[in-house]
Amino acid sequence: MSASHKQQYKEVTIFIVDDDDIDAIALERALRKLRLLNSVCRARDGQEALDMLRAGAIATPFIVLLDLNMPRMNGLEFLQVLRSDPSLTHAVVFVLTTSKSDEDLVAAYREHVAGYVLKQHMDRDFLEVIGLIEHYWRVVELPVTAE
Amino acid sequence: MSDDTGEIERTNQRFRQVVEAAPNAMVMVDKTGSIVMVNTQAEVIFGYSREELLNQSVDILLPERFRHHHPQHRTSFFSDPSPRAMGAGRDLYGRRKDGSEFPVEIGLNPIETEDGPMVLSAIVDISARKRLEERFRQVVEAAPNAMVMVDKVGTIVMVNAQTEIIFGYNRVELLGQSVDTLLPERFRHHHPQHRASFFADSSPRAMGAGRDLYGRRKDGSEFPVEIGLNPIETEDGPMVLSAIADISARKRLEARFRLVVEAAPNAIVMVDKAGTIEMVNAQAENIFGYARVELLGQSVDILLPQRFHHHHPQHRAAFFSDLSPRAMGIGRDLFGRRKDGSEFPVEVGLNPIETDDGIKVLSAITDISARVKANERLAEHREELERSNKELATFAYVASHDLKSPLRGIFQLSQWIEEDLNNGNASAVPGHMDMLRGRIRRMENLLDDLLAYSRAGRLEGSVSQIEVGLLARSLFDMQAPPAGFSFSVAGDLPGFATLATPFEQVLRNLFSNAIKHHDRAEGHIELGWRNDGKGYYEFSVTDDGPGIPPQYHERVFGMYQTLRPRDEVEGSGMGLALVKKIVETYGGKASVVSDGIRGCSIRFTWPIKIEGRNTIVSIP
Repeated sequence: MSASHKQQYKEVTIFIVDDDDIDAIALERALRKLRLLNSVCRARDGQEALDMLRAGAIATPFIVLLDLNMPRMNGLEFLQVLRSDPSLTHAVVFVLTTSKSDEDLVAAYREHVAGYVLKQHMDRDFLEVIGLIEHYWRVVELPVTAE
Repeated sequence: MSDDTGEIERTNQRFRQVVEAAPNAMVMVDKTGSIVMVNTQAEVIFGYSREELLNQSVDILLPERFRHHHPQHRTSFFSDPSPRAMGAGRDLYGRRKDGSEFPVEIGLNPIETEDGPMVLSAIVDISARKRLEERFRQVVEAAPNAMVMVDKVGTIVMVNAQTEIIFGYNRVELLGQSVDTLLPERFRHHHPQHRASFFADSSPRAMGAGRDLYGRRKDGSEFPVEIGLNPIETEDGPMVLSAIADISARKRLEARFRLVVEAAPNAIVMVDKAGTIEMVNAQAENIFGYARVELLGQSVDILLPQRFHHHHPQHRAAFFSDLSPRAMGIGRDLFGRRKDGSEFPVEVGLNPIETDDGIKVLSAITDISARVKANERLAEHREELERSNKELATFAYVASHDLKSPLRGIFQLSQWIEEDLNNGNASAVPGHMDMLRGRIRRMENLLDDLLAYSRAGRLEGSVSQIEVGLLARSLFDMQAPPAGFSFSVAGDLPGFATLATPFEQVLRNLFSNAIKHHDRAEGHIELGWRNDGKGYYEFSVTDDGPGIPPQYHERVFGMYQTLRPRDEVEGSGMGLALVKKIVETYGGKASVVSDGIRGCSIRFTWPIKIEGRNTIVSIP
């Protein structure tokens, strides 16, 4: 990472919402490999994620990496609640899922997700995903609100 | 002149006056046929003056064709003089001065006079009566029916042309014969009796009301008839004039109609305006369970369930006021009622028909039980199919996600182990190996449970007697619950014959869930029951675990649905889905009762008398 990029910006918090420990670990490993020191938070289902967001436990700016299939409250239900909550509606969310279902994909974009990424390719390292998201947060201005 | 002579003269005078005043023509003739005396009436009807007649032969008053035999008849009269009618049985005619003839009746009276025996004949012009008689005969002759006139003893006095035609006799063969000739022999015996009773109380009427009447032709063949009787007073005494109609054609039509009705594939019931059943066919007997004789003459209401009786007369009246073929009760569900009181759905078509006795309704009734049942079954199948399709879709979805997820984990972990070993950093390897084996086990569980789910309701074994209390205890113990867990059952748990295999599967899953999802080291699980009064037992498995919040009560019955990450509580998320599917297979229901704070009760109903599964389609 060139020095020119190391400017005054707040590090983005990565908020992983996924019930699968391995996926969570994989994301953290990918961050470490890229020597990214972003703080990482994790919720195991939609309900827990909402609770954490509402409790202000997630430092802004943040990007949500959202799984769809989860216990209690799944990803799509989480998105609906998120978008209808005025204090959370602007959150940037990437869906990270194994679901190839068109319905899921359409439903997710209807809730204005920033991207829908399939983790179906087991040989594709999470590095790629983290790489994409890193570029995203470096280039894109994220909303910093809720202060 | 003596007094005697004067006396005789006076008598003569009186005699002449009587003769003169008679309303009939009177002609006195002597033994030689010479006219001795005539009265005014004789002058009038024969058109001669008195002078032209006196001393003439009486033959001038006869048509010439009779003159030849007249002297002979006269001689025989004088040889045995007694008052009598002339020419009994023969038609007599007079001849006027102008040569024209006219029918007469003549009474003869012998008279002794001073001038020898004389005959005084009273002559009546019967032209008018003959004309009337003739007219009557013509009317009878022209009648479209056979007409037979019979006297008191049953002798045929008159027949018309139509009689000759339908009975095949010649007129002369019938006149003077007994009317019994025209009856089949089996009716002859009682006929005199009937005739006597008719003459005893003669009034125009139909013969043999209610009975089928038959005529007999000359060739011995019979045919159905209808007979109207009319008493007639004649000079020869009371007679009966019967009008006979050959109703073979009508009977044939009727018979054909009956055959058609009888052969109809539907039940057919003919009803009159008052709702009385007049005809039914075999099919009607079949579907309603009544014998024909039990229906004829009854109100059609006996074929309806009681609750429809009230409005039926109204509907019938409406139909008769607007006659057209149509379906009965469009839009309403119609039911028939069998003799045994059971009901069945019907479709009824109504047809007004004109008969001799007025308008009737011919109703064609179809028992649509089979169709209704088939429709119901079809609807059930469709529901079942929809359910199974949904299940299949869910299956595809979970197969792509839930089953793939452990595989991805395994792949991931193997990569990490490789990386770590290459980097000489082996400290994380044992942990990753543990996780890897865990994923393999999870995969196995998911597959096992998926298989169990797809088979639910298909592998059911056979019906056997079970004691629910004992069974539950042993199933609970097989779960190898941690030491802190206790189990209790309601004291009076029933024993019943059911499909043990699926029932055990349900209990096993509920016990396993209650133990697995318990959040404390000590727990209590209880099996309760009640009879829901609708043919089902309702069992409840109640624990004192963390409970399930109301918003998840529906979700927990879905495939692969868990409330906590599998990494925390190992479970396929199939347990309750399986329970629900099994229970619903046998017509039961599964539900959750929990406030989500503490304790949870899973309830399910199970048929007391099991009849096998409703399912026809299962997912593969």
